[in-house]
Amino acid sequence: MVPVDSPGPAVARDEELRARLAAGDEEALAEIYDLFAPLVYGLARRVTADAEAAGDVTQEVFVGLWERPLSFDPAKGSLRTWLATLAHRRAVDWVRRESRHRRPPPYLEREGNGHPTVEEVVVEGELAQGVRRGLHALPGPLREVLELAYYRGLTYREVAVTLGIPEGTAKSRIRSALARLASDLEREGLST
Amino acid sequence: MSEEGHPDVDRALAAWALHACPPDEAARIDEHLASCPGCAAEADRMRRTAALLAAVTETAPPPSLRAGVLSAARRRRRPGVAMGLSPGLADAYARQVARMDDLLASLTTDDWRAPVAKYDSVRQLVDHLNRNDAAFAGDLGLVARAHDPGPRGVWHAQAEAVLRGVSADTTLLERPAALAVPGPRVVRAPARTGLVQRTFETWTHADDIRAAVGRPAEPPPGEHLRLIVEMAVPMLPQALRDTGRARPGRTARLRLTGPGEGEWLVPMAPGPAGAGPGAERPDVTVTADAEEFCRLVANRRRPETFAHVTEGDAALAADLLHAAATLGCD
Repeated sequence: MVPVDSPGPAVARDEELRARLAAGDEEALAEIYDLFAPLVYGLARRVTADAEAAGDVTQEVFVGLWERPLSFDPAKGSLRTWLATLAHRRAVDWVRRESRHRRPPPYLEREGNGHPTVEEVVVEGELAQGVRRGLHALPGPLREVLELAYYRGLTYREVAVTLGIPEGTAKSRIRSALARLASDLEREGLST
Repeated sequence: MSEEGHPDVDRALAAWALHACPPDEAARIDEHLASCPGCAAEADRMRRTAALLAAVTETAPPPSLRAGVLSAARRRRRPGVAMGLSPGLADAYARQVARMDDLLASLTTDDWRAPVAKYDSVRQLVDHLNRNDAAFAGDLGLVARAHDPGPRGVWHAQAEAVLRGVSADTTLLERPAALAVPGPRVVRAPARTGLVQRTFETWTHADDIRAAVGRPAEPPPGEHLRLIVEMAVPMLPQALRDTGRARPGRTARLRLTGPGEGEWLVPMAPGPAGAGPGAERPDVTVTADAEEFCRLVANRRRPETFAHVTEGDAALAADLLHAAATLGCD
């Protein structure tokens, strides 16, 4: 589990890892994998709901970082953020490719929001607990749009159709949900 | 700020940060963010918040995945080889500059007057190359003073100033500098990309001159070709859009052979920066020679007659090749 460092040391660590990757240090990639594979794999698994696809996404994300370490810019955000963003992008791409081939599964109310359904759950740190609290504190309609858009990879148009609400409403709920969450987490000192 | 200035983009920014915009809308937002620092900063903040949502899905991957990922990484890039920092890049440019200088030194007065490529004379072509070099160097503050006022002296002094500058201060390569693009537009990219383009243009024009004066072409080594391909490939999605050939959601695999060989996945439409789809099943695979592909990118080959092999959607392959041929700098 990754501790939520104060920004200073995390930035220094990310910069050092990036420089080692650029220098061709394979150990650096192994270290990054060990730090962040649960983040990348877990997110991809949740979004795709497919273990094989999650493995493919994980491989693409880490191999991509190894091939182009300089595309990660520590000035714009942490390595953690960069990897999570890329993993999400790739997982969403997979979901959209799949949905071209078959109909998306109907929306089912899932048991408790944000709970991973797989066995090997990583021991939760302060950050995960804070995010979980933040999600629970959201009003139902806001939590619902994050579930569909972020954790299921639907576009806001698909979210609107799924919930039977106007597109503009879907978009503004996503916006309110993200803003609420950001301010809650910031209050807890958990923004990155 | 974004709220008042760009309400359309601002309203969609949260959905964009969750990758929840349809491709055409995401592309419009990406384009806006590239030119609007206010919205871009807001977008980065939202991205960071969105990424926090991944904290509650952490799951240990199957233990076998680790070895698979590390060995795939090793196959795609050899460990122990440094990259991205200036020596390799500056060296590639230095070598093309030296070859061009030798070539120019050997030209006769008649050769200088020979019509070449799209220019009335070799002299005009060298002036054109120098103008593009100077725009790039100017953005990095690397101004040259030529001792020899002839076209070769002026061009060479400028190229030398660039080489000295980037060798002395590698951080220059992270600064934005002019890219040579067709038409009156000004496009800036990290100087690292610009220096690859200077290398590419210097080689292309040297071969133009060789062809004009009846000498054989001198292809660059494989490492230089690879730098050029790595510069061109990320520009393809935008070029597809600019030529009206964008195909959102589709992906092509570009498989280049010979010196500079490698494989690249190309999203057939612009998407969020740095995150093309990792398609395991691309819609088409285009196989071609790496050196020839670089000549296509330089618009020295016609896409219609370009030698390649297509597996999959032939129309996508044609779109890709046509877009590639528009990336040339003259």
